[in-house]
Amino acid sequence: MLNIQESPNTRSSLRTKLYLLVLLCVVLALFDFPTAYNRSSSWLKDKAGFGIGQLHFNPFRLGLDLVGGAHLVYEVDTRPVPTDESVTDAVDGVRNVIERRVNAFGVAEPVVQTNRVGDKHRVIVELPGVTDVKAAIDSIGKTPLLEFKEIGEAEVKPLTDEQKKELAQKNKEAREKITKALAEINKKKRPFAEVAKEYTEFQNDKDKQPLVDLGLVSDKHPDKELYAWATSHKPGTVSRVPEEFKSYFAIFQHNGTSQGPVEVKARHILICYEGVPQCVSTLKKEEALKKLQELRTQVTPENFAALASVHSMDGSAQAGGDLGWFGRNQMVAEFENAAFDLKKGEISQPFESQFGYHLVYKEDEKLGPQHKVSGIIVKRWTEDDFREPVSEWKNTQLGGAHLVRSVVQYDQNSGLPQVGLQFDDEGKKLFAEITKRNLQKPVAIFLDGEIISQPTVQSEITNGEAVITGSFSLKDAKQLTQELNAGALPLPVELVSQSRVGASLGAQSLAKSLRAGFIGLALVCIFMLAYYRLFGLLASLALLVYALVVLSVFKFIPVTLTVAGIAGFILSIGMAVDANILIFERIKDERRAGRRLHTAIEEGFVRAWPSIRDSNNAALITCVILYWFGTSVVRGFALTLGIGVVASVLSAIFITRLFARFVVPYLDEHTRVIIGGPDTPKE
Amino acid sequence: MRFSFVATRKYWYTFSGIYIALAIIAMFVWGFKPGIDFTGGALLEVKYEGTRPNPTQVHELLTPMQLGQIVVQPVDEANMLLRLPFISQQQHDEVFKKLDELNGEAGISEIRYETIGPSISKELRKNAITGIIVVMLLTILYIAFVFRKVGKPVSSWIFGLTLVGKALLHDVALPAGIMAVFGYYMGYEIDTLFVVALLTILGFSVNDTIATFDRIRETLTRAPKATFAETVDDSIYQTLARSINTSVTIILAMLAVYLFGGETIKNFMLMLIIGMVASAYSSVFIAAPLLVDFARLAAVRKK
Repeated sequence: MLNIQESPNTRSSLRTKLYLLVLLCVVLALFDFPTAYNRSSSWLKDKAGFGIGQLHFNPFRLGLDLVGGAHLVYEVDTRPVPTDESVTDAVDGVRNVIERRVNAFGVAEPVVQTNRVGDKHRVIVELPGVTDVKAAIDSIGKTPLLEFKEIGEAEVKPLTDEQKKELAQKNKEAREKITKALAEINKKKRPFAEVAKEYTEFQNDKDKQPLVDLGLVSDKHPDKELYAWATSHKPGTVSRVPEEFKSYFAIFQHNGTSQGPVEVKARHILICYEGVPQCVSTLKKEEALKKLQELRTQVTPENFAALASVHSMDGSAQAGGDLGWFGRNQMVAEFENAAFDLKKGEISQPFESQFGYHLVYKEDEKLGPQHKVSGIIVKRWTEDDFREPVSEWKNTQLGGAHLVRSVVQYDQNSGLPQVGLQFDDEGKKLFAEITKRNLQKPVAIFLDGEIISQPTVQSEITNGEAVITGSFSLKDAKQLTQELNAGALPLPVELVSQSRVGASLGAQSLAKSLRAGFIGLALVCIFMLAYYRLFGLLASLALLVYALVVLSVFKFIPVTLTVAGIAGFILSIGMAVDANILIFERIKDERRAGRRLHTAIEEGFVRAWPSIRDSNNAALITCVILYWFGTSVVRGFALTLGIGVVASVLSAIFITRLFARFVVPYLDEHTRVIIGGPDTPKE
Repeated sequence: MRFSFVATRKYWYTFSGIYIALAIIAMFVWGFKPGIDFTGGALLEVKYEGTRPNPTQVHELLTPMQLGQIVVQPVDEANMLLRLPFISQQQHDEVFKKLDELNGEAGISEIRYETIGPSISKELRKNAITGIIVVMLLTILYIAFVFRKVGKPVSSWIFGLTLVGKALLHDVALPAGIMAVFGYYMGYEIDTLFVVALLTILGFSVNDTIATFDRIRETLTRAPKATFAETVDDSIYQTLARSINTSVTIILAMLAVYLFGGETIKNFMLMLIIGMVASAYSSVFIAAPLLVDFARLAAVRKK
């Protein structure tokens, strides 16, 4: 057996192999560390006037925990999709849209992938090196969901017997409650206000406190039943029996009648500020107030309309701030109070509402009888309370996926900005069908679950073009078209997991990992040298080659290195020596059995193979399972460890053996120096 | 008379038995604190550029948001770690803003932020358990297959079971038990890396033991000694250097990472180191001698 093995290992073939190996190492070193080469080349150029060229290889791909950045997992809601095949298509569509959004954000090397676990479809987004993660997430998440819906047949399901029983029971309890309240007032003679506070279910919107005073009721009041009661009762009276109105039971107290403004015609100027919903202004709150106060000094009844059309930030600005005639209970409380309390022809001082700061100019008012009423209100239950809210709008197939382009247009008559939509071929067809089905009926355009437009279909539209009108400022219109163009999501998504690492922690981790790597490598080499002497040196050299090879593999594939991944690589360095140790110990055994040195070496390599194979197989099984099991962190570890294990076996068998064979002729039989083992039995 | 591993095995069994029993008791009595990987939730670490507020202030600040149970923990000199239930992106922004305001001008920076929703954490739990079971089964099968030619005095299944048994009950139990102690006294929480460490130790303890078992197999087929016990003892001696040295190099590499590597994997590395040391010890002092005892049992049964 020995003789057969000796012939291929003639001196010259060994030499050739060695030279090739050195060449390989140089190439790999350049591939792995081009920056070091480039730096020396520039230095040379500075000093000596000529350079040796620059190398451009991709850098190592580093994971998020080394570079900083975000790892996001979005779960896609696939319920709206009708069939199974289209699910993968739809999820892919979502992935494409998210990728477009991510790219628009300007992240280097983002990763956007779909992932399926059971019946959950997910999109995984990795944004390495992103500094403003919040903005990135916001812009991804903001991707609008565009849907077109038509009127669905309201399904009026009859109540179940149980529900009917519950309905009757609840109303019985409600009646008992209101009757009890009345008894407290009549029999026990408790004051109305006190009983009312205790029993009424009507609340003040702002602070959720019970609201007894129902305000001033005139013929313009939306609650007609209340008005009817007010006009049919004299001041100072209280309901004799509980009133049963359509949606509530009540006991009222009439607190007096007066003449007063029941309807008001007014104009207003609104200055809103940053943070107010639907406000296009970039002013801060204090700046807004200041501006309005300034306006107050300039404004007169004559120029109010003109100033409003220039400065007001409300939709009514076009019409000079004119709001027309309105009664009570139609505006927010602050506005209503201001408008109604003013004298005719007066302009108010600046006041605040949830929309911003206002100035009101009361042009005219209608007087009429208004009744002051307070009441105890108890909810009356109806069938609708027991039904699921009927979604009047039914989903059509038409949605963001069919959108080709959206543009900002201007309405021909009013000159207001609008958003024009253009659909693809399939969308064109769908849209034609929808408009045909719904002639003279409204169709709703939903954006992110809210209606943004509800046009009535005038005619069948076959050219696939639609227009969204509404109170768009130019900025709003532009933003909407941008979002729609970047891609309207076909399906809704939800962020179910995220992991963000700041860049500083990342850089720290990287530096530390590299340091640990060098130290680990050094420690192992020192140990090998100390214990196995010359062969230990050979093993260390083989280890360096091993490291170069593995790093090139990492760069080439490329493998994304994480903290755990680098740890796995360092671990594999420790294991790489394992194969060498197995071989060296076998060699020592053969020496103890009396064989000559070069025979012992050959036998050692051969005999050790089964052990190497078995133990590394077991390690590989573990790596495979870890890879399957894991999140990206775990996979990084499994991958680097696995590649390391395979490479270490190859390195021990080929490289160490090459070195050993090359060196054998120069050695004599003094094994102690060579391999740290026993000398031949002769000695 | 040279020292016999097999003859002295009762001492080793007792010695190991004690600390393993302690480890298992620790695990059952104190259990493990699950981290957000398995419970779901959110983890936010911020660094205060100015003076760091104390945890009570942070609690008071965040209670009105009604997010659920919040744990606040100061970390290092300037950092603050918050553990919360799973929150939305908007809630995160609000929390961050409030924490920032607490520090006035100086401001804070976000070091890291992780949320794990309930569906993901459920999957991780399931995968963790499955992974452990699968590794055990596959290893037993693989070893049984590799040692299939050895019929006596112990069957190949005994080889596999002994190996996996010692890996699980000794090499894995010890670091796990120590982590249970850490969990109880220092609030250490288990995460995905904890499970990865268990699986890695499980897989690699095979590595250690297999060289010795391999040698036993080889000696049995080629030149068996008078008794099985002697064969085992000899094999241990022959592979001793190899077992120790392999473990030494791996442990050296891991020590380098533990001492000099990043913060985030320190506990992971510690577990691996303990596991490897335990594995090296148990391959020599526990696993091989156990084979002798199993052989005795098999012989008794045959009678």
